[in-house]
Amino acid sequence: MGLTLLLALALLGACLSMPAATAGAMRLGPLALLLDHLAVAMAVLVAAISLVVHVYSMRYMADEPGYARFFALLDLMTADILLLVCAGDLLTLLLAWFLVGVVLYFLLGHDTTRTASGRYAFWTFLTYRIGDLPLLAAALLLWRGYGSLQLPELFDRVAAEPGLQLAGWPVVGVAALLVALAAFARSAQFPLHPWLPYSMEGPTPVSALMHAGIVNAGGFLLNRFAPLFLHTPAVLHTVFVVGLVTALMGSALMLTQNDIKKSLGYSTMGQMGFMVMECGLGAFSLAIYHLIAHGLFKATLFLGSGSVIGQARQHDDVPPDEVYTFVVERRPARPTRLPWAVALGVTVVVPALVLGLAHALIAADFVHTQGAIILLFFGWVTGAQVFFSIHRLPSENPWRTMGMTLLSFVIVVVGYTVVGHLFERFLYPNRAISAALYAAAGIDLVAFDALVVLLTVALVGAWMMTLYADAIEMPEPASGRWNRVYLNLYALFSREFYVADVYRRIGEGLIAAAKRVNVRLRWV
Amino acid sequence: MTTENLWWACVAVFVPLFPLSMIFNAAYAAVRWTWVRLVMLLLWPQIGLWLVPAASAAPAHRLAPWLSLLGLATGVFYAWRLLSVRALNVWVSFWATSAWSLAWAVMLGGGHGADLRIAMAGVSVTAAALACGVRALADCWGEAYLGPRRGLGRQAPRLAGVLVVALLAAMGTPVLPMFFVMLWLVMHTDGYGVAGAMVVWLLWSWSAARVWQVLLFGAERKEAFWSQEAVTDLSRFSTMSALLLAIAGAGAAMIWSARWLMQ
Repeated sequence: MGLTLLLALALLGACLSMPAATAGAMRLGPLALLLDHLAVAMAVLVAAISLVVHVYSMRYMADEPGYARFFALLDLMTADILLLVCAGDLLTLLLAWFLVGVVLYFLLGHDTTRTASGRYAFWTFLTYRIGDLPLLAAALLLWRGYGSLQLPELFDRVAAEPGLQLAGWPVVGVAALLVALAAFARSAQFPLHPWLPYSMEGPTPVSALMHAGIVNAGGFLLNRFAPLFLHTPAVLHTVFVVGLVTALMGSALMLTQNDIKKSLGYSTMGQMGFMVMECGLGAFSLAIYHLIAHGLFKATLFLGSGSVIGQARQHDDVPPDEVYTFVVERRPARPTRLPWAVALGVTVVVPALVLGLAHALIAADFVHTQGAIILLFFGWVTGAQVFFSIHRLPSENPWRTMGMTLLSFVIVVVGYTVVGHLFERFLYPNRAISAALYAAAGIDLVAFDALVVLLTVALVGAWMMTLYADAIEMPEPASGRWNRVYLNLYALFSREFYVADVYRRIGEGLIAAAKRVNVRLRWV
Repeated sequence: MTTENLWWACVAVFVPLFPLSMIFNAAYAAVRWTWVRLVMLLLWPQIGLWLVPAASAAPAHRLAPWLSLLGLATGVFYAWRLLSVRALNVWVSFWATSAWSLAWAVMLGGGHGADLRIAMAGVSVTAAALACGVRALADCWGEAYLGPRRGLGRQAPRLAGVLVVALLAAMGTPVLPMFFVMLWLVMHTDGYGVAGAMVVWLLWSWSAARVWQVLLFGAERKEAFWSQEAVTDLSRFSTMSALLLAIAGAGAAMIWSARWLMQ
């Protein structure tokens, strides 16, 4: 794996030394590899994470049965993902895309003694297969419409004739929608998400690889087919809505789970929602940066979890930390807070200022696109939420806590903004394409304003509900109307919106009906 | 019934169309010898395709739309019925019926004689590989019950492995032959054919995963009578032969697909 990473880094170096718009390609019969900036950046990420996972697994899996099988599958998965990101034609892409689900199934189900690991690996496999088929349909449609399986040639033809129709259907529009569906299934977008939070039953290295790499494939796919989305604003809007719903659901469910593993799974779902939402806003390169940042962060989190548990077992005396005291023990250390007017100003104004200044310094024209405004809006809301939470956290020295938070926030926002813009230049050196993607993602101004108001109301409502949840006394009987609403919402969240239950009922119904028909037809 | 329609009915027996597809499944269930089953699996659709030229005097263009749809419906119907099948010999015959019936979506659209024969041969070889795996399971546990049993993966890992590879082949996993067969089918059919083939593909994947799920995961129940018996695993020679067959099949399928993809 070390050699693979070195090769990927060498390719990255070669890519950076070449003129921006050029891409290497290798062909073997109908199969081809495409080594453009996107492919090479993803290859470096995959090789790096896989190397870390391999090194980690050598000791972690040492006492597990099936050690050799595990590494064979891990190597196969790495090779398959590398093939996927470097695929230069539709057939190679399909081959690699189909194989990911199968190999992942056997990795997740490595421990065959546990029925649960098999059950959730099965959910994952089936969802992945649901995502495989739309990509196949999209490839078929593009091949029939434009007569090429080679991606660069295909995109050239799409650019030349974007309005092509087959049997009255717009080829590019339908293909883009199918590609988006494939990405939704792979990146756990609503309603194809229940497999993700339950897939923690596999070994920890597999969880790390999956949450850091495999689940990001949707973002990669959307970027790979970005030339299609230039011509399909409606599909981009759909992608935005699905990403938004997923981000909200994932984040909400993450906060309401009492199982830490499921909570981590829903956290990934929320991040995937943000990633897809970014694509829907036209910020395709930002989605790739997001998936890389999230991948590294989640891999660290998963691979470090064993060490944290080990340390906790060795030293069970929790240090007297005010965050722990407040979050876990649910009791304030010392109820000292900032004056409410100061808190309000810091919570609302500071994130807006930091975000606005950071973007104005890096690219002043950036805020002229709707997608950028939405991103800034979300950045502001998230930032405000962070400051609001810090304000609620009583501290012995609230000014110091708020100051440190502000410093962290500035570093994160400026870093994110600088790297995000550099990344956009790297992935989409032709500024016209990225500008066209932002333009395609734009909507009518009235609808845009209405959307911003709606989102504001939804987010403020969520904050109010959080405040209310803190204010009410849960041990009291649920007599009031609002208490009943709250309890119903609690049931809805704790049952994860009943999505998995609905799928289970549908599946059981189909199997039961098949059984009745088989008996009636005497199994012939 | 005219002679031409009679010919088409004969074709519909061998390239299965419901309800005539029940003839193959009843015959397959009635036959006990494995070699006869293998011959049936390998030759059945080829006989049907061989009969097509004789029936081609029939007004194919008039029959095409509804026959094509019935073929797709048969494929979906048997794929759906697979979901509740536990007896693996029934699973093989249902799966083969489902896969063969997809030929109707291509056959009446414009021939593709030689390639269609090769595609159906790919289906037959995959079904035959599965049938061989089922035979090995029968040798292991007897023929009284040929369903998947929990714990086979640990009791007979080689046999479980071969069965899983055969099931992977049946559900069209790259780079095994059925993947290229399905690719060829969807590339040579119309929109309905593509939609039908995709539903079939999904149902195959679902039912195959349900079967190997039982084979691989969980522990054998202690009170089960067979848990007391020593289980004979597949020999190394048989396992290697099965592996070589899978590699050869994948190689042949890739060469075949490269030929029509390059055209």
